[in-house]
Amino acid sequence: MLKVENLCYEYESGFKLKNINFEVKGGESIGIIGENGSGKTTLVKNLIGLLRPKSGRVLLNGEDASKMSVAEIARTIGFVFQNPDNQIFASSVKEEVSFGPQNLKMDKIEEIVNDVLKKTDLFKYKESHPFKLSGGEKQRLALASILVMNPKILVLDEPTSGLDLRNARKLIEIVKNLQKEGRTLILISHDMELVSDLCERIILMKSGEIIADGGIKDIFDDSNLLEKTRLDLPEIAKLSKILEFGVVFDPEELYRKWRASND
Amino acid sequence: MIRYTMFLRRKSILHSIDPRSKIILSLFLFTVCIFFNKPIYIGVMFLSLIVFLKAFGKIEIKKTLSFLKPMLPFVIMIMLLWILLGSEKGNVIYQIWKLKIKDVNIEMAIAMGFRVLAMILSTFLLLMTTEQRDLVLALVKMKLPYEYGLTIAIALRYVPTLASLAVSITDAQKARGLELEKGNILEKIKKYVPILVPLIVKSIQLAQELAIAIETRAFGKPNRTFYRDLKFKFKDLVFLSVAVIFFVICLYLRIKGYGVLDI
Amino acid sequence: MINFKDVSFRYSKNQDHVLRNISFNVKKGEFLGISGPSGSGKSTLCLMMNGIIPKTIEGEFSGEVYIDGEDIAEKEIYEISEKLGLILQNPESQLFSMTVEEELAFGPENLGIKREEIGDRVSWALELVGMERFREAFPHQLSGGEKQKIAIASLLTMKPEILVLDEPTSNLDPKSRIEIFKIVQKLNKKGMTVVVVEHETNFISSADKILILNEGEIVRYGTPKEIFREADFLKEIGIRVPEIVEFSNYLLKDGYIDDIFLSVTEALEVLNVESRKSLL
Repeated sequence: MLKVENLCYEYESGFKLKNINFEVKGGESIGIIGENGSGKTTLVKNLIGLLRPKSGRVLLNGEDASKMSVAEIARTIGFVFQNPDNQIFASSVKEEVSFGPQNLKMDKIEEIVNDVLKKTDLFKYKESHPFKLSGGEKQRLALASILVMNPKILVLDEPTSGLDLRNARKLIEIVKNLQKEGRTLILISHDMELVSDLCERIILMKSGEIIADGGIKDIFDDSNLLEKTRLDLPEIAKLSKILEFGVVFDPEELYRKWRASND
Repeated sequence: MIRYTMFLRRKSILHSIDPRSKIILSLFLFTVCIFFNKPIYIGVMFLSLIVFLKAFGKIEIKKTLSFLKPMLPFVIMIMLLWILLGSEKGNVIYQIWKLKIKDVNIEMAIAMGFRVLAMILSTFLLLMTTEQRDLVLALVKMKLPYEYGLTIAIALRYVPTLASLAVSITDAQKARGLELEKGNILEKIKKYVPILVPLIVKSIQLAQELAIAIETRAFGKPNRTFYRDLKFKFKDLVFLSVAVIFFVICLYLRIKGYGVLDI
Repeated sequence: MINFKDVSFRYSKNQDHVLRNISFNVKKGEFLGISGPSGSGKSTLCLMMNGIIPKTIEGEFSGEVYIDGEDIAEKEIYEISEKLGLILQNPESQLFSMTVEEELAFGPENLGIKREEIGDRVSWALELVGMERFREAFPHQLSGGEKQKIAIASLLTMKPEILVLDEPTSNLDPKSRIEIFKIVQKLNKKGMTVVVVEHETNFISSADKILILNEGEIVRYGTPKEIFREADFLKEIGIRVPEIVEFSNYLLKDGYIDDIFLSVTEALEVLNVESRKSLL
């Protein structure tokens, strides 16, 4: 579905993306993690065409993305930016969500907008002013605005950042439903618990390069790797490691393991 | 990184002169430009300014010219206006249909062209050799009320921030299929709405938060002190004296009728 | 040090109260954590501490707020700001000067501090937050975490006795979060009274006391252990419980341990695990 071959990119400031190679199959969910400045956002911008690689290429379903405009790429890869306030402009939620499909000249816009609003639990706000929505609702609105263009691959950049528990949960549930539908998911996040909840595979980045690409458990279990990338495991994972249960992020899971070994 | 300020860091005499002296010099130069309208006089002045900047400000001629380049269309337009709509007197040198091009007008046009360039350069002189914060400080020391100086400083400080915000917003909308290059003039203008609205909303939000932040730092308490200061040194005295002498000479010449075209 | 007496507030008559009958005390030198779901009134509470509400942001305000024994209703915001520094969520709107040095100098300048002393304070504050190298930096070139540290430093130069931080690590990466947290802890240890609003409750699990807000009212107040023992209740109203604490709650419920633990170190002690602390 998505293949990246020897991609290199360089910013004016000197920061480089080097030798990026990876493949994503349809229906997969991968997380991209790495400290600030490791190149995660730069990589994703190269995938959706906002930035064009200096060398190497991005293949979308076999086609070279360099021949496609950003709008064309948007039909296949939808990127939900981190800050919904940076894109909301319409006077109603309905109008806001219709923006993408209008630009892409899609059919039956009203129908697909209603459909997406229901999926993201925003239908009741259809005629409301998007600026009046709460933080969590705005985040879902941003997701809806991309989802409505029906991209097969969804890229989410820190989707639960700044959200309280309830809103984070709602968003995660919606994403899980999308996964069940068969959508491919690329998640950029610092929240390791979120990544382990939603993804089976992760790509670890540092200084513009991919350091590791593999199953979540394998990568998180490798202390050398984590030290090399200076990634800090959340407290619970540290505890579970010391207790010799491997890397566990979910308290309930850890409890079950504890009981199993202590009974 | 895009340049947000004209300031060029150099170790030169001009850079070490108190910004207040430079402001006064700029005003003098500006006024002198208005005194003369003989092409030779203003032409010489303009070229001298370029040399002056190189000699005393260590600003390479190439650099100065590159800063002036964007102004050329404007200058050419003014020159054309003078050629076509000049005075009644003078001899016609050239005629295309009903258009009479007179020698006097060509002289005037050249003079005006130089004049505009010289005036622009007198301002650039100030901006290229003075840091923004020193400029604001100078204005305040010259009796601009502190609040206005602070407002100017804050506005200047946020220029790069708002610029990168505009880029982020544009990116987000591009990812929703917005294509700014396509369409006729009217359509193109409409396309900027999804960029301008979030930008304006964000700016207002920023301004409100800013107001709170400023109050939190005890702004408004009477008798504030100033950490940075500008001190008039001997070289400033010398500089200003030279500037005054130059101005007086030019004034004298003008009164005596030199440098003025006979129209 | 901070005293709220029966404070209530709403923006206008046609709206619900954002906060209702809020009464609590913060002792000098204490570290108070405040948490609650979105919309519970946490930020409003912060803005009340230095008088922004109701003096700058208007609305229907009732009750009294005392800072260091004085009723702030009778004081100007700039007077209150001498004692209490407020740090908000968005670092971008708190760094409005052209360089870091100017930013840090702004507060003391307003307070009328002498020039030489301002220079010393700037150096001292930069050292406290570990940003000495950035004295001449432009704010827009800093990362989120760096910006927030400078925001804290710019309040420290005013030498407040109380520091209030409203979700200071929101939208920051994990590394920066820990750094900010360590700075706050350090300041508290030096005697500063600290109030931190966070819905990332990891941050406040080491506070002296925690206040839980829900729908504008105080629903719980106590030590972290007292609060986190009620993990189910907290989750129900929508507050994150640190995962380690949740884990300990499970153990507690089934009688494996006598009391919850709040950190990995504590967990190892309680569970009698040979501390392979080298893994920490």
